[in-house]
Amino acid sequence: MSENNNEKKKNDEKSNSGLNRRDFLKGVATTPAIGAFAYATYKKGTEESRARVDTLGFDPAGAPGEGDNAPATLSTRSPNNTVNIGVIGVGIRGKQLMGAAGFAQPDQLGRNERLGTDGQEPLNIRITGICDLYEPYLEWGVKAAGGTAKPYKNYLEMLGAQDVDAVMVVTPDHWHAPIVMDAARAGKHVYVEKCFTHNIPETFEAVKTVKQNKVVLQLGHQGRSSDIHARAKEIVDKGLLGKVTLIQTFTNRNNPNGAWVYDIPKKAGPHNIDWEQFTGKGPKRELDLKRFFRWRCYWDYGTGLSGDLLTHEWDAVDMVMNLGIPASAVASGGIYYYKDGREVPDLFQVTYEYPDRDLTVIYNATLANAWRRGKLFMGSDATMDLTNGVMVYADRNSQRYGKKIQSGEIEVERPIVSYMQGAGRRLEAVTSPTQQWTIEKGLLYSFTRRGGVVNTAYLHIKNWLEAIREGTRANCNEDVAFNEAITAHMATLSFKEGRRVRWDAARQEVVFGSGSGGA
Amino acid sequence: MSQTARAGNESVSGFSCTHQVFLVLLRVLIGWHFLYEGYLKLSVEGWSAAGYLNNARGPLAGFFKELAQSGRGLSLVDQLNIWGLTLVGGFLMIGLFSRLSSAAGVLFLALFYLSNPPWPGVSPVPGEGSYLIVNKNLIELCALLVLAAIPTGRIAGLDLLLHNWLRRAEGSDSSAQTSAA
Repeated sequence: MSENNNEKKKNDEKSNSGLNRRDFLKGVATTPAIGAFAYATYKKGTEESRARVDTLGFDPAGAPGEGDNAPATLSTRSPNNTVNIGVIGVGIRGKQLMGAAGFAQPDQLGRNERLGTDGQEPLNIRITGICDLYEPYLEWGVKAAGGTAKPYKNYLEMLGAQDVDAVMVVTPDHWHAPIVMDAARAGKHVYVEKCFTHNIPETFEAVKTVKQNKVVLQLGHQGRSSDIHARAKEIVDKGLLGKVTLIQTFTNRNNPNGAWVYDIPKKAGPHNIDWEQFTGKGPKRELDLKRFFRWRCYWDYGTGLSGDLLTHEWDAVDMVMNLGIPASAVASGGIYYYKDGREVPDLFQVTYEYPDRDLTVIYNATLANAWRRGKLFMGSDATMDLTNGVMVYADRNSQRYGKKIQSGEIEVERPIVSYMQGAGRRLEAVTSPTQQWTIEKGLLYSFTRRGGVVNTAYLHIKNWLEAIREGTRANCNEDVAFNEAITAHMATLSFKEGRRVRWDAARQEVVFGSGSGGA
Repeated sequence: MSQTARAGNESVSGFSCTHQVFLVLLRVLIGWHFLYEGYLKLSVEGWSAAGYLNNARGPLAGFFKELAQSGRGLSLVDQLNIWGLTLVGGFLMIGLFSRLSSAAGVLFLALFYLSNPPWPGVSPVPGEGSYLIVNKNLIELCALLVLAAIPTGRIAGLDLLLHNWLRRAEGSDSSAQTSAA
C-alpha cells in the first residue's frame, strides 16, 4: 500500500514538474513587455528633455513659483498669533472675501464663493468688527463672523477699537483712500480692494501715510497670488518670446451683473441706509438707490472700467513684465449699450506707451460681448497667450525658431510651451484629448503644488496675514498700489479730457501732453 | 467558449492558438496604456485631477466638480487615479489578477467616460477625433469587459503560475489527508 502511494506521488511530481516548465514559460511570457515599457519610457523621457533644452532652454514641467514673483502657496508655517480683523463693507465683494477667509454662510453664497474653504489651512483670524452703511449687510456680516464681531455704523469707531488689529476695506472706491489713511494713522494693517484710490492726488497722500505709519498694506489684486504669472515671467525672462513690443489685454463681459447692474433690495430705503456717510466728501444728492447699490456706474463713487477691470489686466502684465507706470495714456470709449443713466463708459480702450521698454500695452473692454480676444504678449520670436493658462506659439517668421519651423520640429499652430493650471504637464485621464481647462486668468482659483485647488482670494489674504505676522511686505504692497492707481487714473483722465496724459517720472506728476507716445 | 474544460485551463482551451495570442496581446496593450497614464501622473510633481474634474460635462458634471472642489476628497481621487492606473496597467501587462484588474479598469474607464460623455446635448470637449455616444474610452472599456470574462492570465501570464501553485497546494493538502486516512 505504502509502496503504491510513493509511486503515485513520484508520478504526480514528474507530471507536475513537466507541466511547470512549460507553464513557467507561458506564465512569464508577457513579463518582458514591462522591460520594453521601461525602455520606451526612458527613451521618450530623455528625448523630451533633450528637446526642451535644445529648443527652448525652458522646462514647462518645472516647479512653479520659483523666482521673484513666487506665488503664495499653502505654507506649512504655523501662524503664531491670531489677527483680529475688522471688515469695512460687506456688499458683494465683502461677502466674497469673508467667504474666502472661511466666514461664509453657505446658504447666502454661491458655490464659487464656498470653493476652497474646504480643506484650507485655517488663517487663525477672528473677525471682531463689521462696518456697513446698509443695515441688512451689517447684520449679515455680524452673523457670518460667528459671534465675535461688533457692529459699527461708522468706520472711525471701529478704528478706535482695541480689539481690531487690521481692517479689510471693501467699500466703494471713493472711500478707499480716506479709510486707508485713517486706518494707517490708527496703526491698523490694511487690505484694500482695487482700485487703490479714487483720484490722483489722494494716491500720493495714501501711499505716504501708509509708509509713515509702517502698516502692512495689501491691494486686492488676488491675481498676484496665482501661479500662472510666475510661469509667464519665467518665459519672458528666458527670452523665449524674443523682443516683446506689443501687449494686448481685454475685458469681455456680457451680462447685467458683469456690467454692474446689481439687484436693488426691495427693503432698502432711507430707514436702513446711511446715505450721508456714503456720499462722503462728494457732491450732496438726494438718496438714490441706484447710486448706492450700483455705485460702480457713477464717477462720484467708482473709477469706471479703468479702475475696476483694467487694473486686473495691468496688474497681470506688470507681474510678468515689471512695467510700472506708463509714459503716456490715450483712452477713448463711450456708453454704447447700457443706457441706464450711468456715467462711466461700457466700451473703453486705452493705449499705454512704455518707450523705455519699446513697448505698447493696449487694453480694450466691452460689457456687451463675451468674445475672448486673447491676453497676448507679442514678441519677435513668439506670442504668449495668458487667456487660459500659459500658451506660447512660435512666430512663423521667427529667426530663433526658423530652422525648427522649416524642419517641422516646431509647428506654428501648436504651442511650444503650454502650462495649464493644475494639469501638470500631461492630461488627466485615459484618452482625454483636451487641454482646455477653463480656470480663467487665475483670478478665481489657483492650484497649489500639492495639487489642490484653492480660492485665490484666500491665498491673497493669507499673504497679507503672513506679512503682518512676520513684519514683511505683502505681494501687492503700497508701491504696486501706487503704480496701479496712477496707471488707471491716467486712462480715466485721458478719457474724460479727450487728451493724451503723460507721467513725468522725474517730477512724479501726471501732466497733459501731445506728441507721439514714444517721443 | 470551451466545451472541453480541462483543469488548470478552464474556459480558455476552446480558443485556437491565434485567438489566445490576440487576447493576450489585447491585454498587454491595454495594460501598457494604463501603465503609461499612471506612470506620467506619478512622475509629475503635484499632479491633480482637479483640472479634468472641473471640466466635467454631462449629467454627472456636478458630482465630478464637487470632487474637484473638496480638499480631502480630491487628494483621495488623485491617489486612486495615480496608483489605480499604474497597478491595473502593470497587472494587465504581466497577467497577474488579470480578470480583477480588467474589472477595475472597466470602473476607471466608466468614470472617465461619464465625466465627458459624447452624448447628444452634451457640449463636446474640443480635441482630437469626433465621437457620438461611442468614443475610445467606451471601446477600451468593452475590450476590458471581454478580458474580465476570459482568464487570459492563465493563457500567458503570472496567473497561470499562481493558479498551478494554488492547485498544487490544494493537491498536497488532499494527498496529505488521503495518506493520513
